[in-house]
Amino acid sequence: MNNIKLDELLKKVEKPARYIGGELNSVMKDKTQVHVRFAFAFPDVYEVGMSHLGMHIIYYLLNQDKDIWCERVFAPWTDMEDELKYHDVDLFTLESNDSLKEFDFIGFTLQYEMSYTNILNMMSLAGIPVESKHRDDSFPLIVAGGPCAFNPEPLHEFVDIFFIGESEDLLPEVMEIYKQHKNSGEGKYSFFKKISHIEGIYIPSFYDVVYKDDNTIKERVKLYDKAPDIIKKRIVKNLDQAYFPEKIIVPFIETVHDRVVLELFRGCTRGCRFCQAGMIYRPIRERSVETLLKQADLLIDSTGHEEISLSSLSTGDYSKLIELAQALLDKYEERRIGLSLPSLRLDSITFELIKRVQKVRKSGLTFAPEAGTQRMRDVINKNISEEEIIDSVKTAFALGWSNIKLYFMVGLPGETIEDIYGIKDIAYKVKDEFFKRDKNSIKGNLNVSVSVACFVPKPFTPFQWEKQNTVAEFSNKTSILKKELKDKKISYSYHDPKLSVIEGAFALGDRRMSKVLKKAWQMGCTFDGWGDKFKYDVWMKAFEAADVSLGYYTERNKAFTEVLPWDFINCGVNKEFLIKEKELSLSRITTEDCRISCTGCGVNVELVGGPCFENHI
Amino acid sequence: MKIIFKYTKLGKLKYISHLDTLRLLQRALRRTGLPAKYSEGFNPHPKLSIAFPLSLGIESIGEMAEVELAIRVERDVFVNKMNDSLPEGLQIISASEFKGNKPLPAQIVSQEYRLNVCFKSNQDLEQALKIADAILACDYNIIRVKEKKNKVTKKEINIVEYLTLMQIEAQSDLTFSIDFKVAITETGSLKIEEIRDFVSTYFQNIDHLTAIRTNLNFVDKSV
Repeated sequence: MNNIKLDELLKKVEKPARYIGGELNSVMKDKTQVHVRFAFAFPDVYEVGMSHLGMHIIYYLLNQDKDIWCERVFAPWTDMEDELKYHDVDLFTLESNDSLKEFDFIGFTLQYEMSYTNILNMMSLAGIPVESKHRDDSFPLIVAGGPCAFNPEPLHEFVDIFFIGESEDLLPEVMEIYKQHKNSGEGKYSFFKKISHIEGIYIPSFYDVVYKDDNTIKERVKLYDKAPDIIKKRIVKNLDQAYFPEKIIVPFIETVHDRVVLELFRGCTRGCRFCQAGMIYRPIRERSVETLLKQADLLIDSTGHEEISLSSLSTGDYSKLIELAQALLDKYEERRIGLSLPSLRLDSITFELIKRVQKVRKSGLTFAPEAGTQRMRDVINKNISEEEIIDSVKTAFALGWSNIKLYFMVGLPGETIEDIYGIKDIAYKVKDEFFKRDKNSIKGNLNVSVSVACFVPKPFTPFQWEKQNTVAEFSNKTSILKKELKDKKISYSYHDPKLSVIEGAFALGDRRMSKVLKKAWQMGCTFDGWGDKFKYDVWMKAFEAADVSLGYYTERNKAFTEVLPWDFINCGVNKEFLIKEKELSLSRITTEDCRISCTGCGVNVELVGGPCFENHI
Repeated sequence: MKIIFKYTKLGKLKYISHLDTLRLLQRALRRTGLPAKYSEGFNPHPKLSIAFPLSLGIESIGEMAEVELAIRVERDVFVNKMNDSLPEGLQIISASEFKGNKPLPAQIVSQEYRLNVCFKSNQDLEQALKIADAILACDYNIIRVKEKKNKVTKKEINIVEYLTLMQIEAQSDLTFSIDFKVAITETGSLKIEEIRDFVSTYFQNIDHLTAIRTNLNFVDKSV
């Protein structure tokens, strides 16, 4: 597309800077001089996509190869979608402004189930048939990865190749084979055959699924005899030496997370039973303080960002957190570069640290008790006691904080009404702690913000066999809390139960969910994650039109013997462990952090080939 | 030391909003390694401010900003380092030290725009000048409607009160450039959209019209 035409479109939309590219550290290449063109596609708006560290990693990983040009495309907001259609312009990338059709690969990242309609919409806006079988060799290959790829089946009709697990090593391997393949003149199925044996690659068109009369899965049938039976997730064995970019793109406009992000480690050892990330990102692998300081230095110099955030699951568990935070403060305090710290267990050392952090920039404090009572927290294995929460809050108030965020879930397995009232109790206890103090020491205006999510059972967790609450059950609980949390000092927000059950159906769904997805998109659903854009009634019609029952996926407890849609994926954690954890949860028995002693999830056998922590912590 | 600098905002950078431009300048400064002075308070920011907002989608060759550095630095060093750090369309054209105390926004008294009017058929320059003189001799009142948090306020303004015609030139058979000076008073100034609408009302036969801000004028002409 030429600049004059682009200008015409940009003049009509609300936030034109979402589509202009040209940011600092974005990569321009001569398209006639590259062999492979890859469009990294984020199925949400620019501000959300640009906040995602994985995108920056893959962008630079691919672009360091002179034969590959990786560009970016985000879901155009509805105003831009209208302009594209009106002017008959294909959806284009930010770098070359070329149509997505001109690429070898379009790589979607699957961060959140409710972005799936945007994937279909983005393909369609570039004139690309959404279904894999309708795309001949003239169209780009559609590839996808990210956490939701651990249950890829709801997208099986649309995506050609799934990347399961971490891509730092896997993606370059596949690109090398593609370079050879592209010269061969052979079709896409020949390429699929060349890569289907690679660990972490899943080609859905090589399999068929047979169902029983009761709709559960009977078996998977291979359509290509050499395709693997089990797809094993790919990991980066040594995170400290894994690829990490020296630059990240600096957006012109404000994004959700607009700062340097350091990824301290991957994996988590806590074993919360509701948490998919805690299972699928195992084993734990840390980066060294030395590596992280070097990365911080390069990124600060190349971006001019004013804040560094430390990112991981349960970041406070990083074994050298104090050492790292002190080193970062020593280095950047004077340059007014802020550090955002994770929630810490507050003691004398962290106390000093937090005081230093506060000198540069003040931020809120977040706690995630997840459930309202000790009983419920034992069930989900969230090993934090009310005493610990209150003690931390007390210290935080003494340090001058007045903004506290509390995260909870409702609809957890075995939940009772006491657990709901427990959420209220914690919120008021936090409030009381603030005013219990000596009047002279009370400073600031207290705000306790209570945020409640609706529990969605996820694959590869001990709760994967659980049914989800219905919309009515969820709504009852969220409205009780709405009534109970009427207080000037407490603000309350909750996730839409209707959205959560659709999310549940995709999280737990099988191949038949792809029909629902296509119908919903055809009926006009996009940006479902954006509150006002979500059309529950249309989704219900889509289920009906596809002749698929929502309740089959979300309102049914499954037997341990049932074949689950994602059973063919090996994420390292074995089913026996998940069953054991599920049974322990029924008896409210907690499982300790596996740093203390191995809990036998299987990842050491499946993926590490030895003890998890050797050389990794 | 305080430095006032003049910069461009060209090409796609015209789509960067006022606040985003401010952050872009702050980050560019940070990358130069030149230490800025910081504001006090909850969220300290480098002391850098833009003289007068520019509408989204309008290019400029005459933007102004002011920065306060914690050290003294040669003017050329500042300009070169900043320009290395800034994107192509946003470059510093000139800079000078400012020793006064008056904040930059308070020093700006007028803005200048060039409108490039492209006609559908040949136009006579003399005729255009006559039209321009004629329309600036009469009042032209518009109602400016502001909507803020469901509250609608209406204000009547006389466009010609703000406008001074500086020059009309034929750029080609079909295109004239019209240079306006627009006063910035205590009651505000004109939006470029209002000027465009005003011009479009009187000139017939316009194919399209583009605008670019060319300058911001000071009380004190020292910059």
